[in-house]
Amino acid sequence: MNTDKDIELHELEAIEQRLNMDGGVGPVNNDGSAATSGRTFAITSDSGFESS
Amino acid sequence: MRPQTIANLVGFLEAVESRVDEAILAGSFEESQREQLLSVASQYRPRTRRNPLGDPLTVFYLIARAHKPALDEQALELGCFCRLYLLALDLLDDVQDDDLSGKPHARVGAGMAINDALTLLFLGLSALERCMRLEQSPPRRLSYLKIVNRVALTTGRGQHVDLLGDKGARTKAEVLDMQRNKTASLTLLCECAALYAGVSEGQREHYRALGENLSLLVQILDDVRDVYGKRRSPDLETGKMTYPLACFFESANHDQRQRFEQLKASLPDSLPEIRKLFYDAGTLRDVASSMDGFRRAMHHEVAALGEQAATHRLLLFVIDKLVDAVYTPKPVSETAALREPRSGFHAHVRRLAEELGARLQTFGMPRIPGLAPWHQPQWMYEKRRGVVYYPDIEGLPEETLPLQAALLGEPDLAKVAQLVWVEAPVVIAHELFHYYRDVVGQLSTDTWHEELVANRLAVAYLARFEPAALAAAARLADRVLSTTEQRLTTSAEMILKGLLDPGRPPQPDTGYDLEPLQAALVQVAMLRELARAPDDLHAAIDRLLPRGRVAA
Repeated sequence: MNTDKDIELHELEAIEQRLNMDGGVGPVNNDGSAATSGRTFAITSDSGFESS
Repeated sequence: MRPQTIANLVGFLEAVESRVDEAILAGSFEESQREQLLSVASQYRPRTRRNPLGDPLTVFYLIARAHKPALDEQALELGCFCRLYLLALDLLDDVQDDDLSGKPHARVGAGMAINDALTLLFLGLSALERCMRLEQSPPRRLSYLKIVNRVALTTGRGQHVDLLGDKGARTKAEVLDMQRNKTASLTLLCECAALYAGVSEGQREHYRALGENLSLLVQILDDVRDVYGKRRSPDLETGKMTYPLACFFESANHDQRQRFEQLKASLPDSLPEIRKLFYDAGTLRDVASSMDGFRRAMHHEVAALGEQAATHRLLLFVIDKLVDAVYTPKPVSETAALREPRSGFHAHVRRLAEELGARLQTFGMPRIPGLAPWHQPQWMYEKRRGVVYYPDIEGLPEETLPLQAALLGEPDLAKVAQLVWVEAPVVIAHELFHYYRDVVGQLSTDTWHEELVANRLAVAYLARFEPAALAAAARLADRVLSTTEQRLTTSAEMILKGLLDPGRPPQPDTGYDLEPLQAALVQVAMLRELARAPDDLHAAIDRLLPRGRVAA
């Protein structure tokens, strides 16, 4: 059973950054304003070093 | 009808997009209505094309592929139905919430929006009918209608409570119940995919439960995004009851409530202070705790399915990435075997990494980081998590191998997979040296410089411990670069030339600035060049991994 103590919450600024509507697929209106609803969901990309 | 089989995610999403557009174009609509319908259908595409994992239909695809080697015509019709159903409900929701601003129907108004939402819904039902005609099993054929009917009624009940506003859901439990119902569409995707895949009744129950938990998680995340991810909070400004707000009211003291009411009166300017208030009051921690309960429940359902499907692993990756916006998800023991498979290519990668780790310990380096298979063709060290991702070439060959196939000029994916085994020693060494550079605090934001350093160390390591593997990788590089199609573009050549120039100045905050194939070619050319005269490993480590700064 998980408890609150198990939760490693991000810092406030990091949460704002990751949830920013520009960061992923989210319910944002075409004019850039925020929509009140939406059934898409967001996964923000992470930076990293890549090799093929 | 064109028979099709599809075995990769982007191919499936694109095929469904085409089906949706074709359904609209075939509908004999007046020109302006056709344009409106096409605008609604395409509104999220720029984002989902950039990030296919963010598309809800990805959930459908991953579940269906867990049980099917490829998806066929019936899946495309079912996907088309699901897409049109979601679009129709979204549009109705926007009308109900007075949220058409900036959307395709802003100019034409609510009346047109309602009519187009119903039109999309019925276009969707036509696709469902085509799907049902393709279903061989009569009981399953009927089940599609039963699922759609149940989910639609559930959604309607949830929407009603939502629209009651102040008279509707108030407590955490009531809000969750309302949200579970109103977002049942995601459950629809899970159940339809499971039904199409022909799984047992018991397994369908697990997928239904997974869908319910996913719906709740996505809705709560949407609520959190409303406060923390937007310039203005429509929910707070309109007085809508959301899960974070319910959590706040259940745990806040008198002063905190009073402070909230003051700040609420000063919206939108006071939004940053409300964010801080929720954070400091423990509201966000409560919300995250609930999110984690739903996340763990989904891991439990996947574990209970008893399959070791790579698409299940990817589904859990998607779920964990969702919550990662708010907190760091911890590994769930029930799905440990799925997360870290130990056979075939996975065992090969792990053995190579462990051997390197053991050898590097004598140089004062710490233990190797976590290793995780994923859906991308590239290998990647993720700095924030300290994990090396590698392509799941056995579980997700259609996702991971096409880029390598293009690079190697080899159309047979089975042969491409064999070549990835050959190049694995050099690539895993490369990624682990990114990690070691990070550990010693040397990892810079000069991306190409870091690639050069990791390649230099990897080549030095292989020359010292695995000369045969280095020779095989160099031969492979020769093969790639000798193919006439594999030419470096002018900008790729300039990057390569600059990298091999000892006088190259540092270039902070750079990206790769190349198409993936060209970036891969630069790596291959760099490797071939370095392999001609490998550095001495001791000297390279002394210079590029100063041990005094090892943190772990």
